[in-house]
Amino acid sequence: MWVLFGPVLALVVLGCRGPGPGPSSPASPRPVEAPQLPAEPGEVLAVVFTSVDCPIGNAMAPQLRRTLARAREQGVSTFLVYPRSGLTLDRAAEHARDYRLEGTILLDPDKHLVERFDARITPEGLVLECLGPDRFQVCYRGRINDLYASIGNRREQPSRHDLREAITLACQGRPVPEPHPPAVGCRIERVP
Amino acid sequence: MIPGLFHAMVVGMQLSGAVPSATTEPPPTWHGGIGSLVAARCGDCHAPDGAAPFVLASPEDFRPRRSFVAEVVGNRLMPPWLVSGGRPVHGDRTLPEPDRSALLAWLTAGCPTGEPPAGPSVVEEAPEARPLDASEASPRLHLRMRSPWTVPAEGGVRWYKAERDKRTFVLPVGNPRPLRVRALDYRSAAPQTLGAVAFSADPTGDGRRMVDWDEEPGSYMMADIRSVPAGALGIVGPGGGRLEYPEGFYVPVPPGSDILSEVHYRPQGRERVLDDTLVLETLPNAAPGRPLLPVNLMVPRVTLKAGETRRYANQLTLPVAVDVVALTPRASARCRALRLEARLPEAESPVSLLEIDDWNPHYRSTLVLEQPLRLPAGTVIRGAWDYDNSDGNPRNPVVPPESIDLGARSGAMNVLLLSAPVERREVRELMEFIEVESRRNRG
Repeated sequence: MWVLFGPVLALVVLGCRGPGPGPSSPASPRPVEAPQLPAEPGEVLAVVFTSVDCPIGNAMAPQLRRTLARAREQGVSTFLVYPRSGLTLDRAAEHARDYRLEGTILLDPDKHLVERFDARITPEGLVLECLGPDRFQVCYRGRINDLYASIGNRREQPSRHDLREAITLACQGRPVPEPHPPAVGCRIERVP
Repeated sequence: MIPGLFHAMVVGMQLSGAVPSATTEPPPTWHGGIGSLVAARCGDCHAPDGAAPFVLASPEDFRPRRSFVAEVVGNRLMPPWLVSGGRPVHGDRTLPEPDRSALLAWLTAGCPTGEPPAGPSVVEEAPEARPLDASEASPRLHLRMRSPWTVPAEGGVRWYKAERDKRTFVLPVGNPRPLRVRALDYRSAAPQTLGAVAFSADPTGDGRRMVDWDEEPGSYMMADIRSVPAGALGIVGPGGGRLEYPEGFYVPVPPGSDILSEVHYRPQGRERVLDDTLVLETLPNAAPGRPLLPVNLMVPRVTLKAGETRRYANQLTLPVAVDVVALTPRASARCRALRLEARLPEAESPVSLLEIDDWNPHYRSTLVLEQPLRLPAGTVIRGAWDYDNSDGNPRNPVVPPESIDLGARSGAMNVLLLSAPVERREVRELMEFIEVESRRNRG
């Protein structure tokens, strides 16, 4: 697990550092600026909005852990974004450690990333392609898997691993078929 | 009515465009009624050691998640309560609609704290402690799991497909004489992990042999003891808790018994250790009491193709007059609804005993009737269970659906009617009837 909190400001100015090969046919036509996410042009990022106490997100943690580990093997940078106001870095790191989730931790108390990517739920997964300095194409935004059909309705095991499949497609430069299945979980509080 | 409820109603109407002007009435506040409402309806689970994933005991607890809380309160997922009709039962957590509206208005308004009640605080004097008379004290037995067991981070097949995410533990009692249990209190070291916990008394030693055969503490098998289903003593849940039978009634535990606890767990994404305790509160020897026997209305087998929906039904006729004190339903997640009714001899229409429109096994428990219901001999008890093995059932545990063929000697689905014969001399007759019914259903 990596913790990126203070250093994020230093990385802001770096953004994407030059052109490179990457995915084509982005699904979303509008690039999103996100200086909090360090990346190279063409690089694929997996960003998961998560929460320390959402039971749905926590229940998905084992599958998410495997998805993120596989993503890193594919050269994808992984990020865990905690949008809860007042959450400390120690508490977020403790949560990631308890659930064995590996990725750079970002606190988003002012909801900058939430607003940029229109995240609404935890857990919600995004697959991004870096287009240039601080600019990203959203290749996927949706659920981690189908462990929950809806709030309160849990399956025995997920049968679809949507985030994992989206990461694989993005790494192959292929578009992720739409519509992206919406995330099921705990609403993100937009007002601090 | 909670102050500010009018505001809540107007907010609701404004959202629908029915009322153009705003009201000046302030929204409800924590100290103005919401706090007591939350304590009464949510406090049992959303407590520091409760079954819920987070505490809800102050406005500060609500604010970071008020949209989420509003969503689950608004769509009636919370507070959870299975019973939609039938006889009134204890512990009803149903939120009356005015209270639901007030709570939603309070959440929309940002969870205002409000002013504490004005005036000098009144300190209630604690009642003077009084030593219990030995004759009225209820002897308590404190039981504990023989060894802790770790709930895995995620679910999986333990035996075959139907036996997932449950485990049976032996709690040794070693009672030389029969016990008359009037209350059970289950305390879990990991309540958030638990759904229902079902208890049965095992004088046969079968449960102990089953557990000893397993390499880990406990067993992946059910806690049925031959034809007696798990839960014959009662079920608590989710997260454990207390089950108390009305004064004068008890569930019998034969001499030399173990208590079996069938624990239905819900993996939480990380390992959790169960090291749980059970307190049995018994009737004193001198106290009068009537035994509650598990009259088992069941369907022994469920067979469904993938995508199939089907209603199962069965009935039995009571051989003796009984007082029905509690109902314990059991069905899998593929069941969507169940009904239980009693047709009294010569009555024109049946009496509804239990209606559950949205069955969810995670929240099942023994339902103690507010008033015991007397049913004469010859009363026909009829049950119906609606099963849905399609992918349109959001609670279908397997997607895409698979064919199922499940059976159990104690019933693939059932309702236990914990009943006391009106005449003491008819206890044995009712016990024999329960055995005969069990054999009849097994074919």
